[in-house]
Amino acid sequence: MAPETPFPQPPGRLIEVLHQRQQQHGHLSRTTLAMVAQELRLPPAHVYGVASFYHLFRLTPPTPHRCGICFGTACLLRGAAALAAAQAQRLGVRLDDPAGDGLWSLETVSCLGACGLAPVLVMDGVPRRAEAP
Amino acid sequence: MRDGETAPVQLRLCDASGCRAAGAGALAAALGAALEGGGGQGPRPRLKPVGCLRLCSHGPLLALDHGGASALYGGLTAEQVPTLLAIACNHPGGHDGDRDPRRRALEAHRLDSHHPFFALQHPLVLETCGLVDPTDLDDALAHGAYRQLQRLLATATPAQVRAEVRRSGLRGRGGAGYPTGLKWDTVALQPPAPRLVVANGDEGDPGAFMDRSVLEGDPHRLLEGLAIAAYAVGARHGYIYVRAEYPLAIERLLRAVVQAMERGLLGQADPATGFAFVPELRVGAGAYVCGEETALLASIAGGRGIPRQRPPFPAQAGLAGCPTLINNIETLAALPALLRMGGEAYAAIGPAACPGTKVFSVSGSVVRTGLVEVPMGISLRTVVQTMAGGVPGGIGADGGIKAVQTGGPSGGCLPAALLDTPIDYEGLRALGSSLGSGGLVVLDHSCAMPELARHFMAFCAGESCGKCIPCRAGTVQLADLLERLMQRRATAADLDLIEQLAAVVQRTSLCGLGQTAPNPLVSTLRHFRHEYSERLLPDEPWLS
Repeated sequence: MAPETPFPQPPGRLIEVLHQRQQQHGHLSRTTLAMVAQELRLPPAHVYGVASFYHLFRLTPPTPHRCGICFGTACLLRGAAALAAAQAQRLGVRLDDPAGDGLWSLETVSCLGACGLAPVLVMDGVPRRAEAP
Repeated sequence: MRDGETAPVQLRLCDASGCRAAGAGALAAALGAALEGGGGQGPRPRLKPVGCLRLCSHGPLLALDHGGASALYGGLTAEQVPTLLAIACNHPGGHDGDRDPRRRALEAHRLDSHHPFFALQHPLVLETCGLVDPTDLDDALAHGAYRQLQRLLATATPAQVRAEVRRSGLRGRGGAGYPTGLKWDTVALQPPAPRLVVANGDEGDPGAFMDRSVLEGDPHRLLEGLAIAAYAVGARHGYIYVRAEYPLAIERLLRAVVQAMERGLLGQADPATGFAFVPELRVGAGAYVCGEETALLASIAGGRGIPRQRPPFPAQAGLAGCPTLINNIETLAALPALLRMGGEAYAAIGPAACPGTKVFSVSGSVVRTGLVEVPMGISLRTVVQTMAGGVPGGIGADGGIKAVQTGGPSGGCLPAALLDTPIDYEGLRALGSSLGSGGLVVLDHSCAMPELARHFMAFCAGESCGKCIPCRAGTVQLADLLERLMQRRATAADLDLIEQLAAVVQRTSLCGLGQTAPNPLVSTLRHFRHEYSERLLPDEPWLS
């Protein structure tokens, strides 16, 4: 038996819903945001405000492949900046340009908590230890 | 061998995200395939995925439990699996084994469990992290999970639980160090109304991975601690907020919640007290400011993570206006061990003003990076030099260490000369740093302090929510001024401006993010001022 909800439920589902939609579509388009606003009966401005506030919500389509460089303190000390520069040159893209070259893009990511392995590189979502250049 | 039957042979493979990034997946696959294929004689060893085994730098880590003893190996690859299984299946140190070159090669991967890195640890929060399978409720129960919750429900009133926590002297492990018992009392003693509990797992400080390790390695411990906190303050509903950058922690926690609810450990009314507790998981979306408690609540409620003025404190009016208890993951995970020992026994660990143990994540320029749990009051030198081994190849009394960065972007840097400082909240604050949530990043002499200060300032400028001007504009200006300094275009007047502006941002920002954003700058100016002044443009007398 589930206990009764003891308090008025806060309007808490928006971030979860945005996560789900981003997982489905890869990013949050204007149409998606408008639909979410309608479904949850929230002002579109509120939905756009939340989606644009958080770093992990993408408002433009991602490239098929993405390379992330962790810029946490430990990674920075162990050469994350040089690693990012080397990757940018290798891939021929600019750092933190979400459009990349259409196939690959290079982005900085916040600390993944894998500091023991610094510098850390994230290839298509899989973190791994990188050799400092 | 009769011993083999009484103490089963098992291989505990670290399956935390650190070791996964170091190749634990490939090792697990090779071990699984070899065990599946059979071969060898004697009892077949059991392969058990566990949480963090502490020494992340030497990952992937694997512990072999054999005949009551345990051997820890680091950096193994699939090629060493047959030799490892031969040892596991037969005798651990037979005479003919020593002559086998493959065994000798494996021995080179064996880690010394008597090294201070392991020997000086005092695991309470992490007492079963690395021993239990984080995906298996029965294994957690066999290791004592939920026993304290059930004991307290049967024998103690909420007021007695709060009194015990007050006696223990436990202080919030998120960084502020507020006495936990006092916070609980504040929530419990509010006028009658529904109450809520929140576990803050938005571990955003770069260099900190204590909470991640608890969630990945022992999620039921957090759930037990959260349920105890809920019972103590009279809450029936709670939220666990975890940052989205920790997918494995989220997966394991979600599974643990489902397991505990299905088994009736949570969610169902206790027959004696009628207490029923329902936890709910909330996933962040990448915003450092959400670690601040009022921003965290805004984010749980589905909005932008923007802090608000306090008072009212969340303990008085939090989520949906209900009195809300917010505790850090590590604080909550300390509760089962604390309540088992009793408040007085816990208070006897470490200094009287801030007792207990603290988990630190050690990273940066050290030989051994990883997770340590040590008594409060231990010296910084013991942790970063004796345990972690100092800078690789470092020489001199300080082991090549230039400074230790504590507390991430809201903390500061302590120079090597202050390494003998005992670790506690007030001690580090008096030196212009802060304990923060427990990330210790060791810096060697190649690190330029103004460069580090600029990095953190740029980080805070990017993470500022934009609500108050001192933080929104001040961090950007400070980052620009520091950039100018790095390009050697700044004058002495600019440095004065930097100091004045830093003080303004500290004193006038709305929330903790802005108030502490200048800390890395101010603390490095205090201890390494010459590094700033040597980058200034020379005085030009004709200008004055």
